[in-house]
Amino acid sequence: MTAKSTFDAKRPHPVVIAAFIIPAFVLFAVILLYPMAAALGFSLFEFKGGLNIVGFNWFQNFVVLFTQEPYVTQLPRAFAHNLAILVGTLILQNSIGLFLAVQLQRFGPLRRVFQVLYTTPYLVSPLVVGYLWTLLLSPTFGPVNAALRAVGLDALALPWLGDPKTALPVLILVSVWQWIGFPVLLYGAALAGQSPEIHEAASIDGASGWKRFVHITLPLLTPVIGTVSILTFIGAMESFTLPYAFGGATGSPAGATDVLSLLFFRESFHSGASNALGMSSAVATVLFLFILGGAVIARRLLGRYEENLT
Amino acid sequence: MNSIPQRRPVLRRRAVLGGLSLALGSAVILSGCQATPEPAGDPVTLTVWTWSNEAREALEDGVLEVFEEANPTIDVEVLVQPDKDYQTLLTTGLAGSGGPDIAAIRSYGVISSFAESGNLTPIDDIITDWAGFSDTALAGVTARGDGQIYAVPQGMQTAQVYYNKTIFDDLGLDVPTTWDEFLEVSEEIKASGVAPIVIPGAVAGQIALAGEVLGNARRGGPEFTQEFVAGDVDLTDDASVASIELMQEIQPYLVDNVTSVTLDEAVTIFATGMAAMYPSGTWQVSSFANLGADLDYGTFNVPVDSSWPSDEVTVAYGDGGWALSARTEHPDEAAVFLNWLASAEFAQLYANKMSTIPARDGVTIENEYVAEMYDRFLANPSTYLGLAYLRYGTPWGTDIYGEQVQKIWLGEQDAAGAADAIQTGIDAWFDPADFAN
Repeated sequence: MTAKSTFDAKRPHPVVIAAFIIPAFVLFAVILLYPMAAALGFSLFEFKGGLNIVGFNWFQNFVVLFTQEPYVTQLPRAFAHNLAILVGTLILQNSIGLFLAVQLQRFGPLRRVFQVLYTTPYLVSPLVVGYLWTLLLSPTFGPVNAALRAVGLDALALPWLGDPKTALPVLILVSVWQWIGFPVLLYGAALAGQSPEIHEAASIDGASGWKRFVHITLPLLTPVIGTVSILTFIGAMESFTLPYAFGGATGSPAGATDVLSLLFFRESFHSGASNALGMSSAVATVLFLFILGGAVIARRLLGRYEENLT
Repeated sequence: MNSIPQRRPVLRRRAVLGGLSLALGSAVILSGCQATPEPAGDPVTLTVWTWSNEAREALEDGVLEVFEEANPTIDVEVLVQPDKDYQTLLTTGLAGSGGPDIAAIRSYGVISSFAESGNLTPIDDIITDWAGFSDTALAGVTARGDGQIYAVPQGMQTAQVYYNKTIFDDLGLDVPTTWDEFLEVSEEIKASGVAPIVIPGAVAGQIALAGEVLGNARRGGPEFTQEFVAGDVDLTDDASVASIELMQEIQPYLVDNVTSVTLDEAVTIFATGMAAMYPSGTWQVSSFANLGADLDYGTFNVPVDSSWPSDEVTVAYGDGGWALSARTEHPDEAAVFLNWLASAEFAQLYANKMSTIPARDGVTIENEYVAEMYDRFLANPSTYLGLAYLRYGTPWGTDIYGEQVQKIWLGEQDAAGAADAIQTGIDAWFDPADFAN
């Protein structure tokens, strides 16, 4: 913050600034801003098949979304599932990711190898991951249940993706399995950046390993935990590919894996409804506003927390 | 378009004449090359989109050749777009550039929605002879909104029970002729240690299809559908509830963990003899052939009980059509090609390559299974109600049906509750008046 004045003195010519900013801004505008604005606009219109506009109808699509079937049933249900995915992945990714990163710190030269291994699933398309796990978890043909039966754990050989009780937890676990490499990398980088002197000083003062972790390592990681959490929040709310690969467009079994993006997908591309574009844009807008609001609030809270730390 | 000649004695010539007459009807071409049907310059390439690899293989395996030999100035290129994203890709493809000239589109709700978008050209007048197509076939490609035809029907699907002949023979079982016999046969198969029935219970649409095979006659067959579309009865009607109850009645005979069974798994389970019966569509004939499994199977319609409101029926539905993009740059050539797609010559070649039921008459089916289904279809067809009428809005009736039956199998719902939920779901958008034209 205090560097602002010195920065001002060296500020380049506005044309140079523009030359650097404009290409990125144009890309951002075309690829992100325009579709977002378009969806926002579409949500205020009524359509008749594809892109034929019947007329501007204010917030009627939103009124329908919050008052009429099937949305009054499906929207809260999907929303609850998104929240469950959020809570599950938030807790598991942060804790397991941090645990692995801390352990890897001590691995020395092998650290890289394990980092690559943990990151591998992250490089595979979620759709492929989804189908792969569908095969692995199949009660009839899958190796997971075969292995469980082979070691006498028949009671645990469940229809993982066919039972509403297990389908969502399995989805959360597979999602964590796939993305775990990301927090491991981020936490690893942050841990590597922590000055060893602080830890040494604390050791000399008699702080145990656990105390150092709780009172030094963890507070210094707060910004990274915040970043991982916000990205997890966005990922969980936008979750689509994995639920689609697991339960199809309807969130099988019996809607147990239905999420907001699937509702959007059914509405826009899978409905045959005349006003599909208007309604699906309304769903997308609600989703967008919620993610934006959530991310802004989370950022604020984290900012305040970080300030308190310093 | 009123210059279309009325008599077409030879099929191949008919297509050429159709194109010629259309070309003559167009002032632009008239001024360019008055007497000859062949436009000057390079051959025109028509791009055809389909979601089906099998369709492309069939078309490229000697079918399109016949057309291109007769029409040397037209090249037809078939592009397969991924099935899962097909509608998405087609929506954007038809609305902008880079889309197809002719696209395979699924029947009923899907084609109505595309028609409403204005990105398809109605082809009532472009096809010169519709006589060979039955009303059932044309219903699948007629838009609900304006009652116009938007595609040449690709074919029909029937849905029936596939059964493993080896298992039936080994147990000394005959094809059941009454519903009670159907249950008895299932009981005996179960006692032998084989799963009697497999349904892809993880996929809502597939559950709905199986439910239609089992329950169409119990609900009242074509009469019920007629009354339903007229608005005289709804899905909470006793007969409709009773048809859903059949899904509960067969639950003891379903393969284990049925709600986890995907479509691929169901095919494998049946083809490898792990289950004895599989209610499904005509397309499985190709799936089983492609699997190369040593499978001796037959098909039958679900037998009825004398107390049911309908005799035995063959569940049938239109299986997509070839539609004309409103943005095609070659409308004349596309018209020539579409007329050929509507011909008996094409139907004969295509239906036999694809092992599907043709949408029009005048075709001899070589495949014994398909020929059998075609005969049964001609004898007592009954439209697949969910597919034909319950997919014009969200939620699809077939999606809720699948979800509700999953709940029944999981012990969370009963048939009456399921019927209520399905009716409540479609009440959001279903209006019999929309089908009045």
